[in-house]
Amino acid sequence: MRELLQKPEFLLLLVPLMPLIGFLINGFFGRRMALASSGAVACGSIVLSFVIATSLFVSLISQGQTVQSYSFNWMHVGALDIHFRLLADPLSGLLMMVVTGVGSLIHIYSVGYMGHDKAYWRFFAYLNLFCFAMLMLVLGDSLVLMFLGWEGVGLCSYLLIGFWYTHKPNSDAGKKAFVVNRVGDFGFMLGMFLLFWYFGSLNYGELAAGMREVVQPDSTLLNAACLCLFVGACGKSAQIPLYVWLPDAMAGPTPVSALIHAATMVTAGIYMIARLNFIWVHAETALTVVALVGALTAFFAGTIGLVQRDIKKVLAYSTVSQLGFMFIALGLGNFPVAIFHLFTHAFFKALLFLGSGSVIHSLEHTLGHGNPDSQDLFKMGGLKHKMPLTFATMFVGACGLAGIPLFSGFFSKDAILYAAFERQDALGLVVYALGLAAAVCTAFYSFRLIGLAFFGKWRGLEAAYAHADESPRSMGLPLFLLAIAAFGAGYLWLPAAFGVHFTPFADLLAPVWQQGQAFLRAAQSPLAMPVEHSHEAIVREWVNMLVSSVVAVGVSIFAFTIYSKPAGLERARKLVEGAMGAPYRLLLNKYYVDEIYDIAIVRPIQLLSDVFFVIFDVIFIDLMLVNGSGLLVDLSSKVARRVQTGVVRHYLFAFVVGAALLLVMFLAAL
Amino acid sequence: MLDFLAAAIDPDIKHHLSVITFLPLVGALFLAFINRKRERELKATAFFFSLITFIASLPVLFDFNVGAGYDKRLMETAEWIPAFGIQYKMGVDGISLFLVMLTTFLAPIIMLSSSTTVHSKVKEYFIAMLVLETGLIGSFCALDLFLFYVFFELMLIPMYLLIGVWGSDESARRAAAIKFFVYTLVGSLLMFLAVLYIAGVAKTFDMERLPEACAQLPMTAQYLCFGAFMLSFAIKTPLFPFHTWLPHAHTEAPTGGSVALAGMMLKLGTYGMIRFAIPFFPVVAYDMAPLIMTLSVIGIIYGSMMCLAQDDLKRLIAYSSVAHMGFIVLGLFSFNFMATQGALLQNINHGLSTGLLFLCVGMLYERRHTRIFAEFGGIAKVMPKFAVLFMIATLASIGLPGTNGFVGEFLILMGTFGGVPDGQWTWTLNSTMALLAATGVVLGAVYMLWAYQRVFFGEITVKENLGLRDVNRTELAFSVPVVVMIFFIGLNPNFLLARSEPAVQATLQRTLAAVAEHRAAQAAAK
Repeated sequence: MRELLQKPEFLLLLVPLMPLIGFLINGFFGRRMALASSGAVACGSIVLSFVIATSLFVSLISQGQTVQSYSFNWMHVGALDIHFRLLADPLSGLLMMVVTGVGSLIHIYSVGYMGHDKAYWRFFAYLNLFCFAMLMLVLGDSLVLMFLGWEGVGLCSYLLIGFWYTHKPNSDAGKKAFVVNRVGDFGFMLGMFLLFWYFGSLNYGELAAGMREVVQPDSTLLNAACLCLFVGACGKSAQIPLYVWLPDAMAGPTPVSALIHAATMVTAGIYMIARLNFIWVHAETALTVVALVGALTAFFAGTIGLVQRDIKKVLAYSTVSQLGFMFIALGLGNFPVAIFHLFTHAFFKALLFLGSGSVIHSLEHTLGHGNPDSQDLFKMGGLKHKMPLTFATMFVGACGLAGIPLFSGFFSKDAILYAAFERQDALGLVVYALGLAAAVCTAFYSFRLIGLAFFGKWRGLEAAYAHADESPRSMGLPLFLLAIAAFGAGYLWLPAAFGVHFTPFADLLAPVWQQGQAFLRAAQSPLAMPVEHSHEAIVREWVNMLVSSVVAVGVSIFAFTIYSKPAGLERARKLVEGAMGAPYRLLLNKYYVDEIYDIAIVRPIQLLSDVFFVIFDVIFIDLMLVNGSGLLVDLSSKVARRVQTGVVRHYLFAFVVGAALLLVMFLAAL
Repeated sequence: MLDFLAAAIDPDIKHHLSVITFLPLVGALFLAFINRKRERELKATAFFFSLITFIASLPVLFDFNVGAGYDKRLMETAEWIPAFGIQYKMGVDGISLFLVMLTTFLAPIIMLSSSTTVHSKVKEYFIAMLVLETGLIGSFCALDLFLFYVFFELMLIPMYLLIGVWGSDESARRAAAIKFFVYTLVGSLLMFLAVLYIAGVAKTFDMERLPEACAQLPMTAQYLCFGAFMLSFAIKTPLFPFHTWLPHAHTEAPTGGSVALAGMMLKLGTYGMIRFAIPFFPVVAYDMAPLIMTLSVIGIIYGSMMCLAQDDLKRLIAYSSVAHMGFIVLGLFSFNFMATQGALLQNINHGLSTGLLFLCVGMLYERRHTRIFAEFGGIAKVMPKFAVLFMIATLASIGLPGTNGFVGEFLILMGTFGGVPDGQWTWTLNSTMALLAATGVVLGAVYMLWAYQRVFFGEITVKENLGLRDVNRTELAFSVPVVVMIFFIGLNPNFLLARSEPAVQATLQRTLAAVAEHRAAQAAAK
């Protein structure tokens, strides 16, 4: 046993297995377990998983070796040979750290946050199951295994969004999330089919080996496959046109929003594209689509975020927008930057969600559970005096999100904008413009949120403010740790313009992009990532950095001054209700996209189903068959008569069956 | 232990298939001698016989020699009516093995669930059930076409009675039973004509020799015979547009009847396709594949849409069967190895997951005597364990990876998408079919989650639901084995795939070779 525990092949299996075991314990026995032990099992299992992951990751960094776990054959049919096998390379290793690390903090936070819930054990069981599925998604060594995790996290998301299932909007939101994701999964499956029939395998290693023989820079089939996969990514990572489920998903408990709908699950689409970067480099057209969809989503969601009153909805649209940024980077072929933004975003967005959860939790004491007022920014204000830690940490998170210089989001978002800037073609220009506009929105709503929640005068129920209090330590600690990460994560990859060469993040991931980049460089494609930075490039980077810094700081201060003062808030309200009424209502109603989908897709399908049902089942069967059954019987008797033409074999048959049946029936009647 | 039992029942394993086929019939005879008032004994005896049938069938599974043809050791041959070349010939190969196992596995589950749900004419009910089991196992094992037909028809009457006598609603069940009977009979009579014709020409009913004999028939005859076989199986499966008997039969049948119908009997339709229709008439089957695949795809989408129009939980699940069986037929007629393997696997999967869904509906019906959605809502609150059970069945039904449903659907879709292997992959009609069929995966999630939400989520609005008790031990006892199988197959499908691989490979190769030969002959004639 001890020997086994030293084998990385085995330890890697334990990383996802720990939360699975936690899920099984809580799932089977949780109802009868004490609250404390339920929480301990859940937190213990994920923390243990984090510890094991850390030891693996350290050896991964120090020895630069990828680890493959022991395997078990899952499906073997013809050329298809899928194993349950995990693979920790720099990319999946990094994601494994994020999932178990942020996951552990959020588990610990939930001990306090969910403390009053009757279904405490059920919550933790689902949360553990989620971590298992997410780790399978990240660590699996084939697309099929990724799909297992992909749908698994979808299931957990469904279960957790609808966690308080007695309330119909919650279960509606859960169902919507699952179904919209299934639309994406439809694309994912088609992508897998195309890749399989092209390469005869779905294993990353074998796909990469197959790709070595492909020389075209822009193959039709690979473009098609990549676009299909991108449909899947749009579903999971909430991009246009499939983003509609994510804002609704905020119906779930806030730790869920932090873990699943901000830090980990929704980044699965980004991970998938980065994982398959060696294929995507051959699909220039598909990459262009990705960049454009990402840029549009970043801007579009950012504008909706400007006007939301619900603190979680602001953050939800911001997540959609930030995911758009990551897709911009992917679309420009700058994969490591996308992962970098994924990494920093995981910290500051989880932090912001947990902070908002802390606010909601403290207000719900008085307002009651599920009261929408506890999430309404317009009914908050001045909370910084009551909740200093929450305020301070959320401030750090907001700075990260807004891209204030020297906070983590600044480094990663700036790198994305710079990548677009450097492209110097029409696509780069469009993407850069949309990205910059989205960055303006981001800075605005971040500090609108801070101003509305923590500054000015309290605007809600007096009693709620009087009883508002800092959250318990189990919630404070994760906030504190995440704040440190949200500030510091950006320093793992300093821009070249700084003059200091410190890029451990990029160095770590470099082997992942090797094959794809080698191909691009050989083909002299503009998609290839720059290796050396010329003097002019450094200047351009400085210019870009200056522009985005000024924008971020300027807009942040502007938003903050309006929303932190009662007078400013009044004036802003008058403005949007008067002169800017029409665009305001458009944004407030999220461009009416839900309504459009309802009219264009949901209702027609339902109507068509009902009509078909009536036509076929009621009219066709009841009218034509049942009322016409006399005809039918007549017909069948004609057939039967035709059979009786003196064929001995048939008589014999009828005799045997009849006799056997009669015998049994006769005996039965005894 | 198993070997010992097997040895006790059948020392030289030679007559094993006969033993498991007729054990239920022996049980039915036993029941006939028990006083109808002693319901406990009747139920226990029926359960006992189905259980020992299952135990007796285990050696068939574990001692099965994996190979392309029928397992020689398990084969039984005896003269029956030599004058007409009719034999008593039984055997299993990789294609029928798991259908036999599914039948013997589900039978005790049905008996146990029926023991809590059947309250009238208990004796006749269990006799009918046991006769049905014999008919099913016999159909899957028969290697003589005449013998097959005897078993095939043997099932029809008990099933008719199960729906007509023990069904839920007085008037509707009669109509449903008659509809079932007439539909199935029309199909099987046409098939019988075809059987008589080909056996008359071939001078044998031996299924191992018939493919060769059928190849000699004139093409017109082949088309007609294929049509007759296919119609019968299409009704049984059911394939769109021959599905209209199914929702009625399922909705009106008692729980045990629905499970038997979905879990075992529908399988006979798809089994018939791969066992008779395709190998007997490969050229015709290949030729008709586009039409049949189109009907399957329509069935998938249409069946799913029908589910969206239901206000009755049981009828929704019945319609979902139309969609699921569409996937299976699609896989079989894609003539792709992977898809065929997936279709055979999905045949088993559908029996398990839909079987479990019907068992669950039965539990609800037992408590509330209604299946209308409007009568439910918020059930998860009062029946949490039941909610989990139903959720697992739902997930298996919508093919979540990790459950059995995923493996089947995935293999069918990916295989069909690949088309008939012929060098470099290109987009074919098959790919289009797979693309359209894959929308069924989305629709499946829509209707199943919608159904789940309407039953389990929300507040309890009907006050009768407040006092519902959760699943009891008996109910757990018959549903947990199904849950175990759902995950077992989901995580280790190779257990099944490896055993069916050579047989599927061989069948497919023969079919494609016959098609190629026919093409070559045609070209030469020109």
